[in-house]
Order: sequence, then structure tokens, then C-alpha cells
Amino acid sequence: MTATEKSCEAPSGVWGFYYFYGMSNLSVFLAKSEVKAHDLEHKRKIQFNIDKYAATVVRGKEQFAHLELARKKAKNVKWQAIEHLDSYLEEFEKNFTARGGKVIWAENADEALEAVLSICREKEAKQVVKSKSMVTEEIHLNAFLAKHGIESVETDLGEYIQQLDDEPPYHIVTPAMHKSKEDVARVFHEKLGTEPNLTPAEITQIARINLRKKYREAEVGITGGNFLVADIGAVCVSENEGNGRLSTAFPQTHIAIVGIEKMLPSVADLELFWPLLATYGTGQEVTVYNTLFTGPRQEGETDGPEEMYVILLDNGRTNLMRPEVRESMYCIRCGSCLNVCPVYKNIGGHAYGATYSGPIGSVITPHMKGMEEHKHLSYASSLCGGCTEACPVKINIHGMLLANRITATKEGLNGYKENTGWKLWKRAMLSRKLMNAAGGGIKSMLVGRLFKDSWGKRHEELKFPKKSFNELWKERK
Amino acid sequence: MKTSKARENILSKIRKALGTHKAPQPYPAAAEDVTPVYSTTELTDEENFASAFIKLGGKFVYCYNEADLVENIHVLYENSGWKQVICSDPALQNVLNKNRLHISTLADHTFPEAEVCITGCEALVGRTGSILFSSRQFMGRTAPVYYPIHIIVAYAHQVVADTNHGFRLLQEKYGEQMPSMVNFNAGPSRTADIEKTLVVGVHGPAEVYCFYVDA
Repeated sequence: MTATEKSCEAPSGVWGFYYFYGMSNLSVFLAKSEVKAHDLEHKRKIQFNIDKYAATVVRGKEQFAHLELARKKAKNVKWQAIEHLDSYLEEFEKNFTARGGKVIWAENADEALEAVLSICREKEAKQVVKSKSMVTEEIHLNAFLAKHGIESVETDLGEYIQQLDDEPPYHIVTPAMHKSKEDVARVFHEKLGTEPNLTPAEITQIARINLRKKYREAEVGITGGNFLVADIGAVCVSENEGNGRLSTAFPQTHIAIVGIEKMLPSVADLELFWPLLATYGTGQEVTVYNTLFTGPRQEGETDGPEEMYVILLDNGRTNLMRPEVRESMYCIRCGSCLNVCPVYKNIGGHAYGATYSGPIGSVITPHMKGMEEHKHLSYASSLCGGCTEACPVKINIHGMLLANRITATKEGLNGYKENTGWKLWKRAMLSRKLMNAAGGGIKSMLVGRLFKDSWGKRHEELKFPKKSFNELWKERK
Repeated sequence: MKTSKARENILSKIRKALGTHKAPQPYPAAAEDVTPVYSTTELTDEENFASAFIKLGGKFVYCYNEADLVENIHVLYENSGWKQVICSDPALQNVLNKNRLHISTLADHTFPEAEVCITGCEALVGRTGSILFSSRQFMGRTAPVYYPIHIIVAYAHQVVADTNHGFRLLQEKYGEQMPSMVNFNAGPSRTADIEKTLVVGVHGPAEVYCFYVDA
């Protein structure tokens, strides 16, 4: 489809989900990309944020005397965790259960949602406080709970802004990256009736006051998890604001929903992983609150939840165990590859139409949600390799984007026109006779037609010279 | 709940994939390499802690002994105009009261709107400037984060070099009775969610003091 800028920008709310309903994922992706790539104001905001990020990352890295060795060691640790994931999951379950925690396994989003709902019903919960978690975005937890009469409020400032504005997070680490401070002040003014033009500090104070009540009232606190630790049966949550701490301090039930790939073999690995996550995620040396949860309140403890559940979520992650993309399971979701990606910087986080955007999202989404519908994401890369360079655990991200393209081609998913085009192209290229037989004009016309909808759409028309190289060579030798 | 079926399915999918293909270790040489990855300094662990903690935005107050500590807390109290101070560490509350400094009440589950909370800690981490807390401390999950100003009292023997030394200290102290929550806190609560502009005091404390007792 050819979308004019105006018609694409019209829908707001759930970023035009309903507007684009009925279009294929690919068409929506192309339409949104086209709009965003030409939106200079959007580009300015993203560039501003990413420049600030890049400047702090340099400072964070100074804590490492041997950064390259640290990254290699980290990759070794994640390799160990994923190559023995079955045993580590069992070890985690055994240790976490031994201290009174409960483990629930969920194969897909529905199972995870049902588990959360049944816990909430048992506790007669009306209010849930949630700390930042991409997994809960992935399973659309807030909308699901709302449908069942349970209010789930985001407590991370960036997520709170996005929830007020009825938008999904734009970036996996910095959810409201695409909003200027004026944009945020406007959202607060419109949704909460605050004075217009509040400063970031004033906005933060409003959020603090509003959410303090919620921590005290909520029956259930829900978090994600940055790591699972097998040897002590722990879930780790890293955050800067203290909302994760408070969400797990007051409510009498704590539910942590964590993807199975977040595994680390040992608590001793955190000394390496916490600083790496902080440095590559936000440019800090360490995150302000790095917390381990090994279960509910123990005997003799004076506060904390009576019950703690961990929901171990698959939801397509086991598909990533196939050899060519297994490394994507090493990802610690720092967002670093998004920040360096020229495609991300141009089309922005929402165009991908996926919970996990940017290069790593383009690797995993086709496997988690279906190759046929999401294969186009693997082509949304210049294969410049910036993502691989920027990865704290040295995941070969651009290599896997290429691997996905091969998979899509092998499975014949590239569409009749493109496949036929390349077949005819191959036949012609392998035949000297065919190449010399046709003159330049007819070649331009034929090739132009073959690739009209793919190459021709965004490139100048192909013009072949009158004579082929072979003919010229014969004449001049 | 159909949890056991999900459990079996997930584990069997993983085992099937691992059975089909085993990935080789990415960097065998790095696995053997014991070179420390972090930069080191000429400073002691205490000095490292103080400088890292200050860099994080913490306020470090050195005290010769407990008498000095009480005096310093008193001076700060006199100059700040705080209306209500909570103390979540019974032993510390005792030290303050014993020295006739009756400024604080012991923390409880009513969570009054106090400006300040005084707590103890489990350890100070030299390299990162983090302070280790646990739920084995009195009101350990709530006290260090709920109040706008946090005063931590730490003693010289609590300083460790890095994160793993902190874990070891906890394991030695609690053995099988490990706390349900362990937290490494690096300075005041902060956010940069709006235009990457640093704002302190989001949900946790905006001001964090460490009174370090060198005794």
C-alpha cells in the first residue's frame, strides 16, 4: 500500500492498531516506517536521547580494565546457562520452592495470564502495582487484568507516562524515549489535570505522590526479572527508581513473570552481569537498586509478601534453541543494539509492531511469533554489524539476521513474485547466450518488471547499457 | 492449573534441541583467563567505597566512634528542621537513646509520614559504592526505600571489596537462613526517563547519607 503521511499519522491511542487492522504485518511495517523515516521532529528527539546515552556509556565503560575479556566471559556464562537450560530450570525450581516460593510454568501468554488471574482472584485483588517488565508487555497483562476488573498500574516513570498516554513502550529500556519533556508535560496536563509545562522534576514528584498510595493499597505486586539464578533459586530485578523495591515490599503477594532464557548458573555471575547490564543499558556503573528475591517473607522477617510466585514463561522462546539463532537466548535486554542501529534511529521503536524492537527484536520475533508474518523484520537491517559490536555478551546479531533471511528463503516464504523474479534472474545470469541476445532496452524493461514491486519502488529505474560486458570485451580485445 | 504439562513440554522441547545440536564454548581461552576485568585503584576498600558512593550522589560522613556518630547525627538534625525521624534498627535506636539523643522512634507497620529513616546495613561494597541491605534486618524491605531521606549507619568491619565478597558475608552470617530479599543500593533513587534528564528522588529516597563509624 502507498500511505500518505497524513493518513498514517491520524490514529493515536493504541498507535493506530485498529486503523491498520486487516493489513498484513509487512504492509503496516512499511507504512509506519515510511512515515517515521520522514518525520524530522521524531528523528530529532531520538537523536537527542541516543546522543546523551552514548556519552554516558563511555563513562560507564571506564570501570572495566579489560572490557573485551569481560564480554567474552559473559558470553561463556550465558552459553553455559543455555546449553544446560533444562537442568538449570530444574535447579532453580528446586531451590526456589524449598524456601516457600511457588513456580508456575507457562507455555504461552494465555497460560501465564490465567495463572496471574487465578492468583489475583484468590487474593481478591482489585489493585496491582507493576514494575517495568517487557514480558508483561509481551503477554499484554494490563489490558487482560483490566478486562477482569483489576487495575494494574505501571510504577516505573517511563512506563507510567506511556500508560497514561495509552501507548506501548517505545524502547525496551527507555519507554518514553520518543517524547520530549514538553510532550510528557502535555500528557500529564491532559490525563491528570496538572498545570501545563511542568518540568521533569515536577512531573516526577507528581508520579511519586500518585504512586505512593498505590504501593500501600495494592494486594499484588508484579515484576519481571532481569535474571534467574539457579544455584540459590533467585529472581533478580534491576531498577533505578525504587518502584521495584516498593512493589515487592508492601503488597502481600509478589508475582515475578520471567522468560526462561534469563538464566544464570550462579549468584557469583552477578558481579559481572550487573555492571555489564548497567553500562550497556544506561551508561551507569551499577543500577541504583539491584535486588534478589529468593522467596516470600521468611520466618523472623518483619515485612514483605506472604507469598511469592515465579511464572517461567516459554511463549516461543524454545523455538530460539535452533542452532542458527540459539545465541539470541543470551540476550540480557540492555537495549544497546537498538541505540546504535541506523534502522531503529530512522523508523523508531513502534514501527516494528513487535514487543521487542531493534536488531535483537528482528532476530527473535520471527521465531517467537511466526516466520511467515514477521520475516520482513530480518530484512530491516543494513547488516552493518553495529549491533554485534554493541552487544555486551557479544551476540552475533547481524549474522543471525542473515540466518533468518536464509530460513525464510528456504521455507519459500518470500512470496511468489520475488521468488519467480530471482529464478528467472538466475536462469538469465547463468546463460551467456540469453544475456547477449537481448539488447539493453529490452533487458531494462524485463528486469524492471520482474522487480517492480521490490527494488523498483524505492530505487531509480535500472538502465542496462546497449551492449553486455561480454560483447564489449569481445569487440575491444 | 495445568502446570505440570507445561513443565514437561517446555523441558522436553529444550532437551530435544540440545540433543540435536551442542554449541561449542564461545571463548575457551577467556574462560581460563583470570585477569581481573575491573579497573583497580591504589586506594583501600574504605576509600574506594567513599569515593564511589560520593560519585553516585551519596553523602558520606566519617565518624571516629559511636560518640562521634551520635554527635554528627545530632548536628545534622539540628540544622535540617526535620519533624519526624524513624529508626528501623533497634540496636541503633538504643545507641542514640543511650547517648540521650531522643530524636527518633522505632519503625513499625503504621508507616508515618516521617522525612527521615535511619537504618543499619549488611555491608558496604568498595568497588561500586553500593550498600547491601536484606530482609533479615528489621523492616528490611520497606525502611530503606519508603522515606524521603535515608541515613545509613555502617561500621568499618562491614566493608568488602566487591559484590561477591558481599554475598559471602551474607552466607557466613545467615547460612541456611538466607534473607528472602537482598538488595545492593547505589545512591539515591533516580530516573532519566524524560529526555535523559537526571531527576533524583523518584520513588525511593532523594537523599542518602552514609555515617561511617571507624570502630
